[in-house]
Amino acid sequence: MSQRSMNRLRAEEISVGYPGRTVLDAMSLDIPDGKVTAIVGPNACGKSTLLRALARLIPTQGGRVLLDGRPIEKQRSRQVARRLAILPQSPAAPEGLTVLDLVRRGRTPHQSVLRQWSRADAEAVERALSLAGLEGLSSRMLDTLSGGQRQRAWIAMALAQDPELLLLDEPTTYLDLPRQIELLALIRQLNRDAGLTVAMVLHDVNLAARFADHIVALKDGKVRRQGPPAEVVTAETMQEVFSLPCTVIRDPVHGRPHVIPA
Amino acid sequence: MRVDSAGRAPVRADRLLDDVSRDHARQARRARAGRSRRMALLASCAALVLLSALALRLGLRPVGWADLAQALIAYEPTDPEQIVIRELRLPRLVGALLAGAGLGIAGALMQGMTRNPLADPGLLGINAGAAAGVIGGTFLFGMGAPSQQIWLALGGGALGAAAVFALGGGAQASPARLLLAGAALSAFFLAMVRGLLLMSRQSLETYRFWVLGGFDNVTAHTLGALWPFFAAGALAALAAAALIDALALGEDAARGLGVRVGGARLLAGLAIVLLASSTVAMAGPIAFVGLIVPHMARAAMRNDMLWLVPCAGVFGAGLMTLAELAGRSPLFGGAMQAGVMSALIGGPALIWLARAKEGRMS
Amino acid sequence: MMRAVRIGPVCAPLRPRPLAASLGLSLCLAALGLAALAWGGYPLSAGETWQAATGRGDAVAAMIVLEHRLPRILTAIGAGAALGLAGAMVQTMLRNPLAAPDIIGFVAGANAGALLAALTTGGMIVGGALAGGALTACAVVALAWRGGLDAHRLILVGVGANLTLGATADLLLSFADERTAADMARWLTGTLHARSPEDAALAWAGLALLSPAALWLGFPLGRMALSDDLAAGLGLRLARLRLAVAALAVALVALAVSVAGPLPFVAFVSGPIARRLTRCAGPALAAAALTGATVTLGADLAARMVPTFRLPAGVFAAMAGAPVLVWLLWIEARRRRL
Repeated sequence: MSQRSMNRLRAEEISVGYPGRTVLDAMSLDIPDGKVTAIVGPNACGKSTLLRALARLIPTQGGRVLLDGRPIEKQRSRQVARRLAILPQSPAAPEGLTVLDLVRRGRTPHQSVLRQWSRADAEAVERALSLAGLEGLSSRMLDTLSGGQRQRAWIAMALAQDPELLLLDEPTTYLDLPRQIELLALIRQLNRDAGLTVAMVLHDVNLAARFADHIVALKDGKVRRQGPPAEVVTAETMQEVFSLPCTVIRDPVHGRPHVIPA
Repeated sequence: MRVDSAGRAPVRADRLLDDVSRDHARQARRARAGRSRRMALLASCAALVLLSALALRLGLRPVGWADLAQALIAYEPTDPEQIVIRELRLPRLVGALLAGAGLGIAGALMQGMTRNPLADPGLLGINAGAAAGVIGGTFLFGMGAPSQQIWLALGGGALGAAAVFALGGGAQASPARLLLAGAALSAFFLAMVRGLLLMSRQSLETYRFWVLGGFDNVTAHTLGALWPFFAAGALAALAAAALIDALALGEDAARGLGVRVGGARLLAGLAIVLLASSTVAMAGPIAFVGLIVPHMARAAMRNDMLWLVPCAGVFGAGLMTLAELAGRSPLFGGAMQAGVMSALIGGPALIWLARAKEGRMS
Repeated sequence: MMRAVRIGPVCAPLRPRPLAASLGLSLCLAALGLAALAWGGYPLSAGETWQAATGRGDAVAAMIVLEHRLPRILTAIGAGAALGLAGAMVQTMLRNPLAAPDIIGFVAGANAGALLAALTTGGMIVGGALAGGALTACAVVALAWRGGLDAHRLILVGVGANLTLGATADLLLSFADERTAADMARWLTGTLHARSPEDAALAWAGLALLSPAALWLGFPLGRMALSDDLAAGLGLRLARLRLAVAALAVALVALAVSVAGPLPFVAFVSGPIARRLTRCAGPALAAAALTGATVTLGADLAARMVPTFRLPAGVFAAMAGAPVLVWLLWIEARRRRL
């Protein structure tokens, strides 16, 4: 994408891999500020790796990730965590944690050993819980929650971090359709109301088209198409990226593109 | 212990799908891997046979190949060479093979069931229970004869495991709790045993002899009494292997596959108890083998229980025989415990394995 | 929703349950300590103990209380607290309840080092133990290091080192003559018999020096209990943290070993008991330290109460700690089932 003004989070020619396997090869990408970006692509195309690289969870072998114009790995990890939150795929928590315990841990980058709890922390936690619709559940054990509630608890933890950029790896897995819609609507509302920049990996192209402002289609560790849903979600792209023969229609309610597999 | 927020399996359906699709792309390599696994298993079996033959030949009184073959095929009970093989070395070898295989398999099941790389069959309270059985029998009823000790150890081991299961919350308990309960109860029993030993000289004498264990006192009679337990344990282990593979996907996924979680854990527990307590009964408490061997087997076979169980059996038998051979070598005064030797051989091997495995560890 | 306490620049959340648990443990510890002052081969009444402790009683009582019992009690508390802290830290760091600090190879190394020192020089047991333990811990961390400390790899390398060194110690023990072997076996079990005031001073000075660092690490440790990616996403630098935790755990265990020998089981049992008493998912370091001290003091008291056999305290550590843990696990299992 050729934007003049620099976006806050961008990857410049990054190469990432695991021993013996290159996943991303000299990829450049901008996450547009103030928008909801969805990263789609077939399985094993490097979506999760890209997200982890953007969040400095995996080192790049070449190129660099820039956050606010500076290489992300040169910045203090705590300072990065105050601006950027990531929710990895299948997060795990120790046994016996309550929702409140979990959400409180999102405050880590704002705390120090001497200042382990402050009014700002309490307010942020309370705000995160209410944004995620978890007020009544805060003292429940995490393992007694339903899948949808648990996922919202994790999101609340990321929100308690008070980030300006939020990266989510497949936040809708495990959820039924109403819960998926509810969650994505919540994410978009956070984006609209609080100006949160969101980048998330999504499996479902139709949901991505419905809720994202910007879609990045990956295949084999390369960006194949990116742009607004109407430009990316087309029959040709679907064929190219997913090898899926399909018809794309305009969803009559929201006016977004909708994929109907042949 | 890694338990996800639900206390369930940390594996997700989409992860699996991802893996499946990746596997699709690598099917050719997979097929090759399958063949190489079979080859690896066959090769280790061949190595085991060779090692066994060596173990029969080597010793204070070297025996030729001809005598060896004759002792096995057409036993001549008057030939001193053949008597040595038949009466001394063969039971000892079979004992080592059985013990190693039993501990290896039990360890693989234990680590698979609890998803904890530190789990060892001894942690189910088996070794401690057996020790308590032997000492309790000696102390209370004066039962010190080796033939009685077998049954005392077997019973004590089974009782110890039953206590751990019951106090750890039964078959539905989380693996973490089971392991904690096992470790705590084992320590408790062993402390009791130590206390008893310091109070009774006779018990101390019995215990010192028993705890050294080893395979020198394994006779055809011992083997005859214990083999049904080993056989039943091995069968139960093979039956439990597929169930544990399903459990590794998470309790819910396993239930979805029609596996009864409690039943699967019980079956695996039964196999572990049968194998490990017959080993204790035969050769005293041998630590470590059940801990090391599954890691070695996993390096060769990856995490597939149906392969892992036989492989752990072969590797365990090999390690035990090798340790037994090395322990009898003049280098170590000719009488080093096989358990100590296997730790001496297995420990560095484990470090090497851990370092050789690149990156993909979590 | 959550109250906080503020003392100057320090501000920490106020959690009633852990606070109550720590208070209860402290009371328990104090009661055991008082009992240990009064009980023994030369029993004293409460009044006599008090007089002796304040220096007004008769000379014999004063000597027994101040020079024999008090140092022993203080050493037990110091060593136990150090082991409890180290255990809870390592278990949380490696996310494995079975991973006592022994996993870093310290104890096995210390045993082998002590044996080697006893065999070659005939003395220097403590020096040999500390050197052996520290060397092994460094070797294990170095062998497991690969651009960071992966928990799984550290566990495997640690187990390997433990097994090798444990077997080496057995081997060394079999070379020793009977007297040395018996002495070493006693030392290896851990004992608090005849501790001097210097031992107590060393234990407490070391604890005073190291526990601020432990409290400092307690904050990130609680967050490390989440997955690696989450913790890194929250801004924690895992490699550095793991290294710091390992180093501190080794220092704490070294402290305990130098005054009380390698007391088994205390480090393993303190963390799980503390976590269940406080019902918090974090490392519960303060409660773990108190639990370790209580278990060790209780074990030593039990050892003194069976005087004819002179059992080392190490034997009783499991007898004092294991039933408590099993009982807590039993309650937990029943609560979950209901």
